[in-house]
Amino acid sequence: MADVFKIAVQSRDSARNKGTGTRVARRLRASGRIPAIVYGHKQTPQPISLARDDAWEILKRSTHLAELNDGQKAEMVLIREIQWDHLGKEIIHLDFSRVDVGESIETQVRLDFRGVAAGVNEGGVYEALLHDISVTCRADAIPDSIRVDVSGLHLGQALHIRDLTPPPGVKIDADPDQLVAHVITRAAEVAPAEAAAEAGTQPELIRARPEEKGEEADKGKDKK
Amino acid sequence: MPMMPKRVKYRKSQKGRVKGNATRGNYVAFGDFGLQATESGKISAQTIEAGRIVASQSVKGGGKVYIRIFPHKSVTSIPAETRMGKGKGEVEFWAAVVKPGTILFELAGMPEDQARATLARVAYKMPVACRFVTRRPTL
Repeated sequence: MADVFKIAVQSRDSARNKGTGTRVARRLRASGRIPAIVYGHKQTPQPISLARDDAWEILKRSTHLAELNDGQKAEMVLIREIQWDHLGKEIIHLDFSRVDVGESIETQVRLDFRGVAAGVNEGGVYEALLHDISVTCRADAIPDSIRVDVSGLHLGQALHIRDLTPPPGVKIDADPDQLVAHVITRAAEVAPAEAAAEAGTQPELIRARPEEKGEEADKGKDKK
Repeated sequence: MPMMPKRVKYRKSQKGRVKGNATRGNYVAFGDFGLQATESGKISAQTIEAGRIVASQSVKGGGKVYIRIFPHKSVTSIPAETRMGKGKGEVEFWAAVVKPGTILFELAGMPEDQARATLARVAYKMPVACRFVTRRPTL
């Protein structure tokens, strides 16, 4: 588990500054800050803003917990969601959820795949189907990642959720039979000519055919 | 044969304008690396097929290629030297509407340098400006 990252934040009170809204959020982003919100524990949601560098530091450290300090009080939060711009270059908003250190929480944890699958040298293609996983654990025991050793995967073999070994105190909330990674045989390339044979030239129209309409009308007449 | 819908409610559609940015399909979801459009436009089914062929030739079965766009929109045209009127033209091709941010192709099961080289070859076929992207960092 990574250390708790301490962040200095500013509240977005309408009394103290311009408050919330699209324009304010855009102005904040232009000035190098990122709008965020803190919610949870049946308290009123509190709009805040934090420095852009601090937001990137959260990602760099891959930490789940943070301590927000607005100058008056400090509170422990869990990073719930990160919103990106359409190109995925900039963080545009963050969601923080209030937590107690001993509280049991549900969160997503990254899967850290280690090693090269043995099946790759046997001519197979390694494919990871799951990249993060939902876990339940105490807030102070959230692992940075769950390490998965894939070096023992041979051609045609697969790794399931049940094969993962989470750290002590961490429970995985997923179907044990769900596939995590596998090594499959190399797919033969579909030749354009074969593909042409499969497909038609024009799509079918989703409409009731005139004959069917006629039949329905006839049935209606019979009933009468 | 290029991709096209199997069943449609109406065969011909209005032209429309491609406005705004991609709010869906704008992150790498299945593979490890992706090709992201940074411009808006329409990509024809033939172009998508050309990209698929280049990608599969480049990976040589050593990775997995995902196509993230589908040509849902029909584009019609009137033959040359035809008088105006007499209704809408016939369907010429099917195209995928692409907005800035849309992920076009994804690759999995290969190292980054090989994926970069593959997607650069695919990008060369595309009618819109593209960039190489990786998975968004998760906590």
